[in-house]
Amino acid sequence: MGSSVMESFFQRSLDDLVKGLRVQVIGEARYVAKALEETRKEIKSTDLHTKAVAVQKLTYLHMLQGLDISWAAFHVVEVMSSSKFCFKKIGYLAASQSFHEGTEVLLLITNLLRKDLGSKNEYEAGLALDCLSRIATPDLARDLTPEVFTMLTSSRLYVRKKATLVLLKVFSKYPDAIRIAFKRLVEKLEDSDTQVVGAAVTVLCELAISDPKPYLPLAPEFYRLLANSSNNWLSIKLVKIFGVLCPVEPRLARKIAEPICEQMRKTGAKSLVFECIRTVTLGLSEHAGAVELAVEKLKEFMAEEDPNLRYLGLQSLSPLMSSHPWALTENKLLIVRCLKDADPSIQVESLRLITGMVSEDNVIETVEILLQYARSSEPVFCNELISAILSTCSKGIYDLITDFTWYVQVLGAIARLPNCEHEAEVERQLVDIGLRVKSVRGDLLKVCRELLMDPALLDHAHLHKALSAAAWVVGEFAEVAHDPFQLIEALLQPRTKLLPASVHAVYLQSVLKIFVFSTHTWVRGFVSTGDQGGTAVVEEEFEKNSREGVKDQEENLSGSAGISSPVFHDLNPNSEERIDNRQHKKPMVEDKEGTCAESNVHLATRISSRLILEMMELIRVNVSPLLNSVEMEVQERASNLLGLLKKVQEILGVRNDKLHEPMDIHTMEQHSSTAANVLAGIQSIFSVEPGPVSLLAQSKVTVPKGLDLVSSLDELGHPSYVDDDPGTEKDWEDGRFFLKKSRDGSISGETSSLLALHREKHVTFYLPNQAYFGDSNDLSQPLQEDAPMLSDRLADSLMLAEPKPQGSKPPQAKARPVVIRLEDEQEPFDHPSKSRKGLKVDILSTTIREVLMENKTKSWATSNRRDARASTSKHHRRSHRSAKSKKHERNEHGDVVQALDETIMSRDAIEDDVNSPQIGKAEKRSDASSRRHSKHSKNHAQLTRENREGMRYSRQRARSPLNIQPEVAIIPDFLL
Amino acid sequence: MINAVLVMNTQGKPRLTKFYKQVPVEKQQEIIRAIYAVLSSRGENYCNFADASNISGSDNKLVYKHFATLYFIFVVDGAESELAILDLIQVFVETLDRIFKNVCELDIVYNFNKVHTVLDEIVMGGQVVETNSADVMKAVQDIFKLERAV
Repeated sequence: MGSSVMESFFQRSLDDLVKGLRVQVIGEARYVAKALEETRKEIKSTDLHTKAVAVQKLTYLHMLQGLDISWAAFHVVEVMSSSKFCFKKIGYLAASQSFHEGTEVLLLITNLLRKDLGSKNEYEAGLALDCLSRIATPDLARDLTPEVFTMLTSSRLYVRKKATLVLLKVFSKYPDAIRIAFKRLVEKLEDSDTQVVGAAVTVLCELAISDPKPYLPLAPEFYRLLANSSNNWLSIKLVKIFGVLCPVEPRLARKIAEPICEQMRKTGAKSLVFECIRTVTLGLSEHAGAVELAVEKLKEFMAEEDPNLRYLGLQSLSPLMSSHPWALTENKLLIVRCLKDADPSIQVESLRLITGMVSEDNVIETVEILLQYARSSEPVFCNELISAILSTCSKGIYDLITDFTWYVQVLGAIARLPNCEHEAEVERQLVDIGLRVKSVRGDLLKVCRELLMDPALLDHAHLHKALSAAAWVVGEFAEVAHDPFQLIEALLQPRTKLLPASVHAVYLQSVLKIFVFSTHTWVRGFVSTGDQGGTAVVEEEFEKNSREGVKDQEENLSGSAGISSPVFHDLNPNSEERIDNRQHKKPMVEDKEGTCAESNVHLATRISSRLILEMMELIRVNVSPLLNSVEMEVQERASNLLGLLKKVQEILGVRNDKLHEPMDIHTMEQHSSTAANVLAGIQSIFSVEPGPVSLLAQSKVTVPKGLDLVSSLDELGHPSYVDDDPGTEKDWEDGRFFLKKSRDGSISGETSSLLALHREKHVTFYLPNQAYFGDSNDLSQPLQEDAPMLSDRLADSLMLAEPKPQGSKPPQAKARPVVIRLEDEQEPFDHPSKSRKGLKVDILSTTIREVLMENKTKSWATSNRRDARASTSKHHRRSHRSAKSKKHERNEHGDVVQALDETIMSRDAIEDDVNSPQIGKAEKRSDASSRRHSKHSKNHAQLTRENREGMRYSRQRARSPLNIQPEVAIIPDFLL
Repeated sequence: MINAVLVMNTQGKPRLTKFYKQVPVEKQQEIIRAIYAVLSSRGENYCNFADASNISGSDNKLVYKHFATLYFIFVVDGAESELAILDLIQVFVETLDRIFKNVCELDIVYNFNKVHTVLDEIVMGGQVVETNSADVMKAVQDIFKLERAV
């Protein structure tokens, strides 16, 4: 570019700036900074042209680079006030783009705007209106309301339509303007030009959406417009208004259903059809005919090529989900097809509908479909699907699931999906189902075993959480396992070193549990057979069965059980007894033992001495290296496990180097009774069954006596700043402070003595002395007192939900297995709340209601006078009729029609009496009471009308504050 | 209500921004970036609506159309009809096309004030003021004439 001298003469135009920005080589930010610097100088120029161009450039930079140009606000105002249209326009654009509530110069532009609003040039007025619609503040709106009000009746269409629209902003900033201008806004509905009518409807639509009630009286007007409208845009807005009005006034819905259907049938415009559908789904869902037509149209939408229509079609089906489920089931095929739509937003909508349709009957079918789609979908949508499956199925406490065997398989399948990111939820549900549904534990274990046994799964980090749950499940419910040896093998496979420490620790803990369980089972079986003196025979039996069993488990399972079960029942009568116990719902621990005893029968047949030895060896070989693990958790579990293993081996006299000698087995068996005691002890620790804990469990714990939870802790202060100890000062001086205090507590030193002092002062907030300073036994003393009580309670609450005893396996897919549900358990998933959002009472609608009421009061005043006259007449029929509004009284309908109307009215009157707190004005009173009169005329025949009115009056005064508008009666009867 | 109208190119560079609700400048830029992130992830055969409740407020939607190198985006709330807004975008683009004779991205880059003028005749304060392209044309031509007459 030219020299600096040239620059001062020739300002860069906007085009130059844009061009420069596009070709700059110094970097955009630097270029912009340079341009800004330039503009700062230019904008101070006295030449308006230079200034205007500078403002224009700033507007450009503000808009596209997000530059703050508030510093230039004053210059913008200068440009705005130019008399030349081209400059003025530049100024106005800059103002409306960059000014905001906090811009100080807004105070200066009131007069400027006023002048421009009144301009003879309609486009100048247009600029001002447009600007006002964007930057209006309460002050501006207040000061300019008269101008806008005048412009509403301008002879120029351009001004009229813009002035009408600007009302929306003015009303929202300055609600008092409604008193002045609302009536005129309503008049605009009858404007000769459709553009102005459109603008008025737009404003009313926007207002009605935020609070529909005050606009009910305008319904006839909207109805008339809709019937005559040929402009789609206008029709859409009108239909939208009805969409919000209908839900608050059922009688209006009855009237409007047919005209809306008419629109749907006759129009060719998809946008209007769609808006009608939306209005039907939102406000007319009680009108079967309308809904049927809407659903039919929706079906067309969803079958369309245009993805827009598919998307909107799906979206507007969802409001029908609860009220008209058939609308969804009828279109199920179309909806499911959308699951593989190219557009993810359509997929998500369709998924939402499908999950909404799930019921107990179709849950399996639906989930299978979703799972199938999940396998072939993109990762993002795949996870949407997974999340939908998991949340739908676990809704409530797995309310929809009857076949848990199937569901745990689904969980297993989900965990294996390569894109699954919901492993935490899978983990939670695997454990949760294990705890809650006893009858499914066998199948759950199978699923978990498969997950654990597949070495490939260990590679995937996303699976680790699910694997952790699986490992926990097999450990915790080892008693239902058919093949503990295999489980231990799976848990100890070499690739487990890929697991994170926390999961690996769970693996080791499960190995411990399974090991203890199987050894214990074996030893017990052995001991009991030993008691009967049949050692040799049974032992042989064991050996035989187990060797075959390990080789070919599935096949041999029933056979071996068949052979040995009777032997066991004979030899161990205890087990029978225990099974009986179980049926009588004994407390948890005993119950668990019962289960053990029962499964011992199956399992012991397959646990041989040889197997136990192999298991020990397996554990020893695989766990020993873990003693050197850098992860503390893993190391500790490993050493626990090995420690126990060693102990057990010691007792049994097993020596690792002579493992395979038959002699060894015999020694082992000789020592089995000692081992039985040890193992029984450990096993009993593991067999305390954890259960689901209610969220409200805490509230069930009674506060122990003497524990003060209510007193304020404020007075405690900080222990270091004990302020008002009388002896302190002197003690400090004498240097005896520490000596004195150290007598109380055994701890010495500054902090501890202060603490002791504090303790002395606020003794209620500390635990009893011996618990605090004494040894650990003392500490546990007060807790132990409560412990039995608490566990009793817990057991009680669990017992209430104890599953009924069933066969060892639930009958497949028939009766729903018992799912433990605590009595006060709440659903962990929130259902979408059905309640509509509360109507907020805002100033705007209150004012509008007032304005509208002013209009109506006149006519009602007339009708009230008629009422009063009529009421003196004793003729029932006469007084009844007179209670109707003026219009109604005039109408010359036949008696039948009127009777129909009257029944509707009287029913509504009763509803109103019950529902509406908003009764209070005289119109309403007379109206409602006369309707009531028609209903209860016999009971009240002897009372004069005046008396009744008086009674109602006083009652309503007492019930609701005065000066609240009637809710229903404001709809002219034209529509009713 | 229409909360904002944006024109940006397929690289995410804004060409025109107009916010009808007052939004601080930094937030505007944030919204623009967020919208681009949404649009750039959407394919050609997707529907023309996208959820914007995380971008500019609850129940907000993007209604957009893709022409050559440009996105025309309207950010609207529940009070607007999506299909009608799509038609409106069509009206907007058609009008621009008439004014610039085969409008392209460069026309919009160099004539941002003219584009604003056109838009102001269609949308005012977040409400649709005119849906007829011919009427818009007429007003815009008159205004251009006034601007030149000095």
